[in-house]
Amino acid sequence: MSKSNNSTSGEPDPIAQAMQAWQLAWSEMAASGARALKSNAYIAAKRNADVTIADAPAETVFRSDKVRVDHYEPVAEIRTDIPPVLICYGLFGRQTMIDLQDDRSLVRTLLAAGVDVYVVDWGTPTRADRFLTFDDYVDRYLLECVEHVVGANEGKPINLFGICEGGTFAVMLAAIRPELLSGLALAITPVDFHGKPDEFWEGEGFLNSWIANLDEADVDRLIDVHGNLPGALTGAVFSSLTPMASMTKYNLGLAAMDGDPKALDNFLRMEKWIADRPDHPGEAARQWLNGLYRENRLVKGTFEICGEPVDLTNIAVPVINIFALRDHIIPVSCSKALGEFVADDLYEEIGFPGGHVGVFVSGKAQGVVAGGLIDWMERRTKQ
Amino acid sequence: MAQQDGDAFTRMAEMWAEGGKAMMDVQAHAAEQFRDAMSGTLNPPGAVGGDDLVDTWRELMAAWMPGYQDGSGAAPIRSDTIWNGKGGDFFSQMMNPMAMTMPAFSQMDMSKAAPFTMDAWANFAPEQLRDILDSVAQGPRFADLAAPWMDAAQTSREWLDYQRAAMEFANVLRNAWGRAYATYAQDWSLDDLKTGDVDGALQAWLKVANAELLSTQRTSEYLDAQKNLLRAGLDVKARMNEAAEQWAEAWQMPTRSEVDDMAKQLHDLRSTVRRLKREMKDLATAQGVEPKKPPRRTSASARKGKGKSAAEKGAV
Repeated sequence: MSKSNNSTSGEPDPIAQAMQAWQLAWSEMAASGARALKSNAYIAAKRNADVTIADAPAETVFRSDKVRVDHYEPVAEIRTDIPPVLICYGLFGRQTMIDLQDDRSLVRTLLAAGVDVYVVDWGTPTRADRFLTFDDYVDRYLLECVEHVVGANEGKPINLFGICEGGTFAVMLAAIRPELLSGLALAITPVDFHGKPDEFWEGEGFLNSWIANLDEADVDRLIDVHGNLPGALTGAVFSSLTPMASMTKYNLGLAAMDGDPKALDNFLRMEKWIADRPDHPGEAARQWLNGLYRENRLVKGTFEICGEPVDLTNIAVPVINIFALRDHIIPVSCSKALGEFVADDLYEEIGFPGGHVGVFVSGKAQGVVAGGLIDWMERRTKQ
Repeated sequence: MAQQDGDAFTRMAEMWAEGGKAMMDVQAHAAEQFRDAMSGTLNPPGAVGGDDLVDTWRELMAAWMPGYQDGSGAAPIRSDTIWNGKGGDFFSQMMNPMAMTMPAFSQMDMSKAAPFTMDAWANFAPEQLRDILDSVAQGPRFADLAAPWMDAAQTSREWLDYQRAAMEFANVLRNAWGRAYATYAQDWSLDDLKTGDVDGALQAWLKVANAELLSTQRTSEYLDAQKNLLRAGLDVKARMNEAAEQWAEAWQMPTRSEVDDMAKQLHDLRSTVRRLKREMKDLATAQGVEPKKPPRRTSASARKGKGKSAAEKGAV
């Protein structure tokens, strides 16, 4: 306490204290504002075309309706001892996440290791796609994509790598057509949609609670009224899972970046990915929310594809299950549940110390996740 | 006879014309008076005769809206706004979603419509207003009478419910922020700021607020309020869809439902074709006819550019 903050009687002078605090706050605000201005100036000079994501060279080798398979151009000699890997993202976000930038790209890391990489692009669903169901996505589109890559692999089985909802698709396909796969890799994939709420950490499982609190009729009305599940709605829900981070990213967040070009470029790439959130086809969303999230049918063995129940114990290929220990969207216990259905000698896990998206975009993920995946393919899925 | 008939028809036509003119005159007069009142040219408060009208207005408010206190800051309709035409922000804000449905609303001078907007009454007598709307919307339907007004009452009632749900949800969040402030005030004070660690104080606030919001999200109070808001919002959205369908129908355009029906039929048809193709393929395989395989692509054959599709060139 400075002397000037005391009154003549020696007691602390609250007015002087308040003035000092006020002065400090203003000083900090001014400094913060200056940092934010530097960031703003950098962003203002950018154009959307300057912010590039997912630009690893690739060729579209298969197309079915809006769905396509891109085959990535090798950057190293392709290893023929490892089966090609087909990466399948979900429908709530775009697969561009796995090649967000040069130095944080799952695709590029795999290519550098000599892995032959194919990626499914679901396209951008419109209202015309509202009646597509899991039958279409698993037994039609994904199956056709897998069959194409199997054909390109001279009829030999391939590795299927499913991410998030795409992982759930992959799990289902692995259960109904295991002969097509040499290995099943998963990342941040829900299988038991209820998980273990008693084990949730404070930021985990809100999505599960929110959907569980809805009635079946609520979900039906949501889909019936909107046709598809709007991407804007799912985006808003995802943002609410990290409330203060979502509220402060455009102010405090930009100030914290202090005009740093690298940090700002990363930020803009992530923003571009988030902004590109497609609508989810309505009927498939109804199944996702009612059949899986609310009724948890997959682990109960009552979820059906083309009229046949999906039996997870049919998965008879090596599995690696990657989950994020601080995932606020998919609780760890929702992913780990798959281990209860797959033989112990076929099943492996990697618990990544990060969040849902960090599995792909953090610097650490390139070693832990991509490195772990390559190591697993070398050990377990040689052809 | 024909002449007599003609006279009868003429007299009837004159009667209708006179009656119609009288009705129009009355309406025009009423509209003129009302317009003057709204624009403040008709004896505003303080002017000779103006206070009588204000008193009458206040008495009317007191009879209609229990708890109404003219002049209070929270009063949705105050006699001064009636006369000076202010208060537009309040009403236009509340009417925004309606403007989404009916763009013409956004061009209206909302201050003039203030006394008639449902929102103005909702805060003070929501249940009474809801009862009134219910009595209209849920009443027996007539074949040729009042259907638009019944539909409008139902729409208004749903909008009222949406506003209430939004307010209740906002209250849950407001309480959460209040708790966050209280927690933060316990942990941090001006003394902490004196250390100069303003950033530390800020980070502490973000942490406290985030923890409180996450905790609140998991309460049944929050979840139920959010569910109610979702339900009420969907009711409003469904009504908007209905209006759009009626508009499309009126202008001889395909409605959303009709397009959806076609999409459903196409989807089902394609599923059938897919199943048949698969059965044919299985049959061919069983007969020893190998399906054609796509060629394996090597690194040497790799080409740049995602836009160049082998599939588009007939490979599929």
